[in-house]
Amino acid sequence: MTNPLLPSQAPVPEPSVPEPAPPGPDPKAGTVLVPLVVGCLVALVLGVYGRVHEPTGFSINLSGFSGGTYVKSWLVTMAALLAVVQLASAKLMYGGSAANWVPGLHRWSGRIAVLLTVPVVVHCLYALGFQADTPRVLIHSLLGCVFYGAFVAKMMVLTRRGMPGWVLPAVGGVTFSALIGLWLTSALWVFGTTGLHL
Amino acid sequence: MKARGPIITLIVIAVLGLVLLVANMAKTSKGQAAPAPAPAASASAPSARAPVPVPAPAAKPGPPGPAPGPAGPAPGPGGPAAGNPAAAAPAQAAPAPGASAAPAPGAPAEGGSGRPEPFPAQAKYTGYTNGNHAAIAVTVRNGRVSAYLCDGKSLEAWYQGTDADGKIDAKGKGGNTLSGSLANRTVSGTVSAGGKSWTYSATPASAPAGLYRSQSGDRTTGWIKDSNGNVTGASHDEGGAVGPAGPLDPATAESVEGDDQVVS
Repeated sequence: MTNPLLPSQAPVPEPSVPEPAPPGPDPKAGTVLVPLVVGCLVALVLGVYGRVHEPTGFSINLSGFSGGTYVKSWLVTMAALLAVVQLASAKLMYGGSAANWVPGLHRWSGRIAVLLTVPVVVHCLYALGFQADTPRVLIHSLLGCVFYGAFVAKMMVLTRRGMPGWVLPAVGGVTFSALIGLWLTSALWVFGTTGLHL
Repeated sequence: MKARGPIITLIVIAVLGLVLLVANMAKTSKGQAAPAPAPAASASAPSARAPVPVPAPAAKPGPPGPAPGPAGPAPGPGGPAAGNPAAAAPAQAAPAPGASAAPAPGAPAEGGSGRPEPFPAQAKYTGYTNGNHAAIAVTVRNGRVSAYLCDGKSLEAWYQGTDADGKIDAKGKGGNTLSGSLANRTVSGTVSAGGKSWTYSATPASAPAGLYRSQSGDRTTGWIKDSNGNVTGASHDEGGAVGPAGPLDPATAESVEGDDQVVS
């Protein structure tokens, strides 16, 4: 009796997105694969850029905050709150009896959440780069790549019809988890170590 | 409609990211343009190399699209500037650092990369730890060394020590240590703080780049300004709690020299 599971799934580049384990003759497999592959590529490119690019230790700043770190912390905190809105509104939509404003709320909270993270990630990548000095920093760097990869995959999944039902929640779940993980390893850490203020 | 929304979202996000990235690059290259005289001044000491550093910063702003904008006008005033105002620019920080930071006159061999060169009587070096965890500044004067390590957020350490035969050996509070040697005008070595250690390398810096410090009340703040004009700073109170520094104000911050007391 051979075990088909043994050699199959070892080298998946992005561990957080579980591929369908039995790659059976599913005609929809291709439609799932393209967004996932593109998402993986985006994650990879971000990580490679962050690693290869010489960090400047410096980036343009926003006024009104005590420092660049706090700007980033608050932006990602708002994004994380909106991510919770995402989770709740998605739950309502999948519950079936959602009011007709719920999909709009879901779309716009998601858009704003990701928009808020853009200045943060630009600073992260441009000024700091992909780092692995401590577990927190390594996890944060990895999650940052995963988050944008998952986000791109999710946007692409949305545009495709005939997806298996589990794909959208799975990709959305990875996006949500990555963002919350990013918040835990950055903003929460900043607030915990240097104080909760603007 | 349903099919296009997410794609538009993706595009908007990507465009915003690129715009911010380009804005950063433009800002950075401007930052490099301004202090360019500094490296030029210090680098001009070894006469043969003088022309080299000038094209270097000019070439850097090249890649990003909008950079030629800010960079374009630069050669106009910058071209002549490289020669004369370069000497004038440091005047703002006139006290000899410009001259003293010219460690090179002796210009000990370029080839011997492994061999430490003796430190000049007075010089400053700024750089980063490998992996860019933190900025570091090393200042030497008359055989004494003051140095500062800081990540701009939550880690900082001051060091005091001596240099001899091209090697520095310094200590800070709580077992923090700094060692390094000078080769090819670059200081490289190992620095430790709070039980962790990093390797680093630092290159000659002349005013306004360097190490700054201010003391107000029970709060001590340090700033490292590198040759590109980037500032990294942190401060601690008497209890030892470290936090980010305010902006570097040349009016209140003092430039630290090698023989200044920085570790009590």
